[in-house]
Amino acid sequence: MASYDTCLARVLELLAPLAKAGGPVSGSSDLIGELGLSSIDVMEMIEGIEDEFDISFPLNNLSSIRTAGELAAEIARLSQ
Amino acid sequence: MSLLDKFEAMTAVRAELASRGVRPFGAVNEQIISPTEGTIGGKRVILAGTHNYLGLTFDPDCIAAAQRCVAEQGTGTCGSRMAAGTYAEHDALERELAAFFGRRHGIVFSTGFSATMGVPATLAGAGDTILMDSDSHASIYDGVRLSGAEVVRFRHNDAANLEKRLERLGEKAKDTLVVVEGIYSMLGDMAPLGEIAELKRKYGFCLLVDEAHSMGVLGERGRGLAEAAGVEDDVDFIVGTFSKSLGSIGGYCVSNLDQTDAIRFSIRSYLFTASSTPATVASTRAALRVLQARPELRDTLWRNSRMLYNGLRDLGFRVGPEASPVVAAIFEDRDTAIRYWRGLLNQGVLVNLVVPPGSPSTYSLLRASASAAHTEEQITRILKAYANLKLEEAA
Ligand SMILES: Cc1ncc(COP(=O)(O)O)c(C=O)c1O
Repeated sequence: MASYDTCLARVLELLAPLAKAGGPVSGSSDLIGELGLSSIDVMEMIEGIEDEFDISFPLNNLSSIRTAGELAAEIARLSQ
Repeated sequence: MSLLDKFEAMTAVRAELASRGVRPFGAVNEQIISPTEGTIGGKRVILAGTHNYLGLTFDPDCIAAAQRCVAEQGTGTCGSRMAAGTYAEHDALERELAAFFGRRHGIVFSTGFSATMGVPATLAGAGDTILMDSDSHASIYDGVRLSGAEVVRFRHNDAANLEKRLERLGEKAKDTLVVVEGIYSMLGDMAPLGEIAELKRKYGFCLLVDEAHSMGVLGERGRGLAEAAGVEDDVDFIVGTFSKSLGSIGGYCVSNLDQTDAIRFSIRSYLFTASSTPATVASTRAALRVLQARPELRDTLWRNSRMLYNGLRDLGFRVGPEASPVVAAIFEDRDTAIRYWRGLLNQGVLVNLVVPPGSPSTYSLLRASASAAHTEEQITRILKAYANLKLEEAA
């Protein structure tokens, strides 16, 4: 069981080295549009998160996630 | 953003490849000389990128069966299997396939894609869960998405990762659909089906295996990985295609489950598309007979596969985890892969180029396939072409 804040902190930490645009990463950063991640980068990051938080992340929910904050919220929801 | 703006990225990729004089996607085979030779740009090439595993596309019996059938029954059925498009040929092929796999029921589809997409799409629905290998074919990705079920990927060929996800599902695990492939189309590696079957016995899920690349390739009778791994009884549904070892086109699903008839009439990609031409089915039936009558073709295929795999590995290419008829060379750099693809074609060798997002990860692949119809001399020439490029690259 992880809170939204814990999840967001971890997501931002994981995103920092991946973000191609180089600028600051925040909850409102668009993963693909703004940070320049590829869909494969996102999937690989999620695989790591699944292990860390002991969750299974359904593909169904992925298409509606655009920002780091939305990703953190979904992780928090799944780890309830 | 307008409707068609999203195609700009693809237009740019196409233009970039064209500017380098490369046409890796859709190179035109002008003349097909044999199962393993054709011409591209007026030049003779060895076909090392088709999945013609048993080399049956020019088998005299298969050709004669198709010719006879087109003359007797016409060029097309103009109807779906459910409406007017089921001929005696389709019916016979279903019975022969079921008998070949030792199962009670068989369903024949017009393409492999409609089978491997349509069956998972139909078996699971809203409220169900599907666990799929992350390296699954595009048709499976499309099918599971269409199903409306919750879809979770497990790490490629990682039975422990699959088990972790089954545990997380708790009670729901026994009603989950698990989807894997026999031989994976990208790296040519095989599913750990023995371990997965053990998990099935523990958790009770429904197991579907796509044997597209393994039918006619693995198992004493050529039934695929389930046979080779000795776990056929644990596999609920086998799906696959006629477009690889059988040298034709079409797809199938076989099962022992009595619900198969009801499932057949629920699969939209079976119901709402025209059935295969009678000649196609006739050549498929003939190829299935050849597959069973000439098991030595499998031995030749494996000899060629090992020669190609070991050869590339010994040349210092990074290859897939194990030898199989799909022999992939892995390149971290996309441009190098493109350069090699073109260099091979210039030397008269056609393989498949796979670049992200088409590849399973960030790497690119040159994917070659061995055939029983390749001669040793052809495999030697293929390896020589790779070796020349390696030398050029080092120079
Ligand atoms: C694993 C797998 N499943 C399904 C298919 C679809 O088969 P077909 O190309 O015959 O429609 C393919 C081949 O492209 C495949 O590699």
